[in-house]
Amino acid sequence: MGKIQQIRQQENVLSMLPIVELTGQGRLLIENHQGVLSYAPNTIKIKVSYGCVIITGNSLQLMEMSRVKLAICGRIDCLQLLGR
Amino acid sequence: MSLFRILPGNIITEITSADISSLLNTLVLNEIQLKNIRYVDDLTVRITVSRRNYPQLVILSEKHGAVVKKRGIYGLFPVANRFLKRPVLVLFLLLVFLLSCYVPSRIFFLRVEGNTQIPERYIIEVAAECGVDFGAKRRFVRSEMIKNRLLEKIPQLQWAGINTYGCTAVISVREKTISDKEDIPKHKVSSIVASHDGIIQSCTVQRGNALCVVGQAVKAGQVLVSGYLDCGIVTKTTQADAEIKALTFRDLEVVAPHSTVNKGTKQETKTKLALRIGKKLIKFYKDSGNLDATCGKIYLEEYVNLPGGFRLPVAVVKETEVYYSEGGGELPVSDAGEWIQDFANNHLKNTMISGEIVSADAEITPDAGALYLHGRYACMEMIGQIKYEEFIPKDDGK
Repeated sequence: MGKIQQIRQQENVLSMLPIVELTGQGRLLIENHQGVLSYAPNTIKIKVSYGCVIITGNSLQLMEMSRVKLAICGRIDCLQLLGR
Repeated sequence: MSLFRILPGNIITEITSADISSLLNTLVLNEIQLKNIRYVDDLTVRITVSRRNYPQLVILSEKHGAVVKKRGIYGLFPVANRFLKRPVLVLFLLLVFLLSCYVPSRIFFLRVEGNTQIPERYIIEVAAECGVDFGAKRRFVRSEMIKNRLLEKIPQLQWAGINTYGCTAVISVREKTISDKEDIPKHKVSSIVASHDGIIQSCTVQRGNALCVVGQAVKAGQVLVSGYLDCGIVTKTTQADAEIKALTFRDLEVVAPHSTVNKGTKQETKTKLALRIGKKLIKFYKDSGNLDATCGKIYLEEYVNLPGGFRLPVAVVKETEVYYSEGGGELPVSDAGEWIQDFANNHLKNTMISGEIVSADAEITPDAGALYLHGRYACMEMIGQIKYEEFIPKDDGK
């Protein structure tokens, strides 16, 4: 296996991994998610490839949701990553 | 790209489902982009989706057993559609837009500054003839051209200029200083001629060559004092000036009606209103026939003027009819004679340059409802009248 092919495989693997980006305490962006598990103003559970992301806070709202990315706004108090 | 998303518009929907999370995932997996997913209660969310995705969202939601309600719609096309359903508003906005394009390019007000003697209205009228009128295009207002035409048409002006500020054109003028002295054409030669037939009684010559003597009978138009003086080798010219009195005879015939009609005391006043639009007169009253002698009519037109001095072709016409009691009757011959004599005297004095009536031989005869005065009047009056001579070219002796 050539070096270039190795790099490409790594890139493919990386591109499928979820990316969780927290901006301050008010905005969270999750890329490569697998759907919403539950949605309430205090808690939002998002399914990802390795398990689940639990966002706890106040006045949480899904600002944007597409197949690839998901943006949450509100006051985020706690962010939990739960593996399988 | 965002513009293309905004143009079709977005729809706010309210979805009620037993499993909201699962429904959201299904929608997202079908490439429907969801925005502003607001939590309403455990079973209900409010979502914003683009108009294009809305039919698919409804189908998928119904398949999922959810209830979809449309709560609102926004975007450029939906707003435009809503506007088109209100034609009056659209027309008004269109009119405002057109006016905002049209109005700044036109002149609607005129202001004149710097004038003291010449009336503002006259300057505005002349400017209107030059093209600076109500509604004239600003770019056609050529300051230099209008200045020249104003100076040409109003000789009393020393300088004129025009500037435009928005919809207002300001005409700045400076008037010539007018001297009190009358303009005398000094380059012209003038003589004194007789204005009337007569016998000269006195002759005082201040300038010029006297051609008449006291006691001489002269005819109208005869030269009495010449502006030319023959000095043998050369002919001197001047403007003749003299006071010449002569005895003249004038025949006069005056006719006056024997009966008179006088206005008595004021009885009644009626005011009638009408509207003049251009040449059309709209009357708000009836019975506008001819009035008899006992009624006086005052006719007044009040035009609507804009602040710049423009007169709109709309006027309120006010007719005031004043009714008087009837008076008058037969005039006594003695009174009529006195009146007719006074009239004849005044008339004669007005026709003379300066002078007085020396003697009068007048006879008053009543005939066919009228009084006739036949008179011959001898008057002592000034008969000298200035006459400008024709130009005589200088003779250089060749």
